[in-house]
Amino acid sequence: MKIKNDNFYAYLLILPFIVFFLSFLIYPFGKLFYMSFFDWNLMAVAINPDNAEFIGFENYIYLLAGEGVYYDFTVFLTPIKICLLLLIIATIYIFHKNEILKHNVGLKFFFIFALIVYFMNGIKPTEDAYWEDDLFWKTVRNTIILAFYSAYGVTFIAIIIAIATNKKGVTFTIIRTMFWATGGVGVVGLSLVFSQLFGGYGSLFNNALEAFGYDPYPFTQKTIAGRFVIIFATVWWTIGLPMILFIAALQQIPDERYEAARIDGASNSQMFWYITLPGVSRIFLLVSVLQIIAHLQIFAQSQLLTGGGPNNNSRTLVQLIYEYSFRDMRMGSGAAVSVVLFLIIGFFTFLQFRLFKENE
Amino acid sequence: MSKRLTLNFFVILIACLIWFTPVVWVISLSFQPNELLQKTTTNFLFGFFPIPFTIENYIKMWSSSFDIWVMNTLIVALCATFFTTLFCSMAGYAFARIDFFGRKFIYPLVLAGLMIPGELLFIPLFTQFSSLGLHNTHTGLFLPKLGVPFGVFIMTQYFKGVPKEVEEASVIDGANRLQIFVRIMLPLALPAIFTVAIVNFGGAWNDYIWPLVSASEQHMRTLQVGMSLQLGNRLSMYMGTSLAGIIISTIPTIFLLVYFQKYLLRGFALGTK
Repeated sequence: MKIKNDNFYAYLLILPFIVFFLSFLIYPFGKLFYMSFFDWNLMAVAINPDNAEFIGFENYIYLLAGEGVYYDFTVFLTPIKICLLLLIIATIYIFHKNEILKHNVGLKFFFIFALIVYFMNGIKPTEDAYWEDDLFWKTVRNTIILAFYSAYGVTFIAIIIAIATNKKGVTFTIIRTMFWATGGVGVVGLSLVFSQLFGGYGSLFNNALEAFGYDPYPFTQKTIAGRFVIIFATVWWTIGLPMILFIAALQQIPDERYEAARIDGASNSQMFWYITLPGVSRIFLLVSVLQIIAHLQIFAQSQLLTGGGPNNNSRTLVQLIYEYSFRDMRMGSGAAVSVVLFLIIGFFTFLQFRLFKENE
Repeated sequence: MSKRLTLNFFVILIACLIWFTPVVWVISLSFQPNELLQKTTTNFLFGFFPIPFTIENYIKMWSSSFDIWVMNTLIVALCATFFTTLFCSMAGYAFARIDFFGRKFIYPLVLAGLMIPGELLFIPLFTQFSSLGLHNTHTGLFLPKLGVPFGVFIMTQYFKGVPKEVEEASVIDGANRLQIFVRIMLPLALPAIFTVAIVNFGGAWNDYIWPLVSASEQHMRTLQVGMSLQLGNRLSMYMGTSLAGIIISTIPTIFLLVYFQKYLLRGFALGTK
C-alpha cells in the first residue's frame, strides 16, 4: 500500500524550520554582504536607518590596500628554521618513496599546508610600508597560524591517543571518557582556567618553574608562548570528538589484516604505516579539515588569554570583527572582515569536497 | 606484546598527567580560601591538595549575580533545545518521508546552509534584532539558534533509516501524516532526538559571541558572558570563588556529554556518513 503524498502536511511540518532558517541564517548571510558595502556606523544607524551610506568597495579597499611587502629569505637562515625545513622535506621524501602518501590525500594536504605556513614567515613589510589598515593582514596571518597548529595538533594527538586507548578494559574506558569530557567545558571557562595555568604570578607553570629554580615566565605576554598557550588550550578542549572518531575508524579495520601482516613478518611500525594509517585516512581528512574550519573562528581564547597578544601577534579575525563592529562601531568594516573570513572558510569547505572526491 | 602494552600505558599516563593536572589543580584551588590564594597558590603540595579546606567559595558564588546568569542560561538553553528539537524533527520527517512538491529544491538548500558558520553572522543578526527590538530578551538570545540546519540533517538521516512498513501499517487505520508523525515516528526517533537535543543544549549553554553582543544589560547576561566580563577581572582577587563559579558552570555540559556519550556518537556517525 502506498502512502498518499500530501503536500499540505509536508509544508506544515517544514514551515517552522524554514521560516527560522530563512530569517536567521540565509537572510543575515545575504545582509552581511550587503552591509559590507556600506559605511554603517552602529550608533548612527540605530538612531536613523538612513544614516548608512553606500560606499561601494571602499571597506574592502581599506582592509586590503597598502604597499611595501618584500620576501625576506634571511629569516630562514637560523639553524632551527633550516632543520625544520630539512625535516619536512625529508619526511615528504621518505613518505613518498615508501608510497605512504599515495592514497592519503589528507596527509598530502597537511604537508602542502605545512610548507605554506612555513614560507609565510618570509613575508615581511618594508621599512616604508604603508597600510590603510595595519591590523588586517597581520590578523589573517595569526588566524591561519593558530588554525593550522590547533587543527593538526588535535588531529595528530587524537590519532596517538586513539591508538593507545583502543583497548578493552575499564582503565582505558575511563581514560577515553576523561579525554572526551573536556569538550564539555565552555570556551570562557577554558580560557579563564588556562590563564590560571600560564598567567603571571601564582600560575601552575610558573609555580613549577619556580620550584625548579627558574624565574617566572610571562607566557601570555610573549609572541610564541602566547600563541602556544592558545593552541594548547584549543587542543586540550577539542580533542574528544576526533579521538572517538579515530577509535571508531580503527575498530573498522579488520583484524585479519594485522594477522596476515604479522605472519608475513611485518614490524609494528610497518603495520602502523601500511595498515593503520590508510585505515583512518578518510577520518584523518575529515577531522583535519573540519578542525581547520572550526579553528579559523578562534575568538574567546585569544580575547581572554592574551587579549590579542603582544604587538597584536595573537589577534584573530573574529576578534577583529568583534572589535571593529562593537568597539569602533564600524559595522561595515566588520562585515567586510567577516566576508573575507567566510571566503577563507568557503575555500576550505570547497577543498574538503574536492579532496573527499579524490580520496574515494 | 606485553612490552607494547607497557609502552602504551606510559604514553597514556603522560598524556593523562598533562591533561588532568590542570583539572585537579583548579578543583583543588576552588576549595581553598580566597585570602590564602592571594598570598600563595602552592600552600600544600604545590596546591594540589585543598588544605585548608573550605566549601565557602561554592556558597559565596551564588550570592553575587551568578544565580541570575545561571537562570538566564538555563532559560535560553532549554528554549533553544526544545524548539530546535521540535522543529528539526518535524522538518526532518517531511524531508525524509514525504515526497512533496519542491523537496528536491528545498532540501539541498538546507544542506547548503550547513556550510554557513552561523556563529559568524553576529553583525547582521545584531542589526536585525535591533530593528525587531529583541536585544536583552531571552527570546532574542535563543532565536538565532533555531535557524541552524544541523538538527534537520541528523533527523532526516535518521528517519530515512526507519523501515517503510512501520508507517504503512498505520495508514490502513486512516491516520494522516501528522498523526503518523506524532504517534509512530516521533517515539521511534528518540535516539536521534536525544542527540539533537544534547548538541543544542551544550551549544546554547556554552554559546559566547551572540550573548556577548546581544545581552548588553547586566540582568540579561548568560553564564559565559558574565564569567568573561566579571570573573576575568576578579580572578586574581577572588581566585577561589571565581574558579568555583567556572567549575559549576561546566558541570551540566560535562555531565550531558559523558552520560549521553552513546547517543552523541551515534548522531555523529549519522552525520559523517
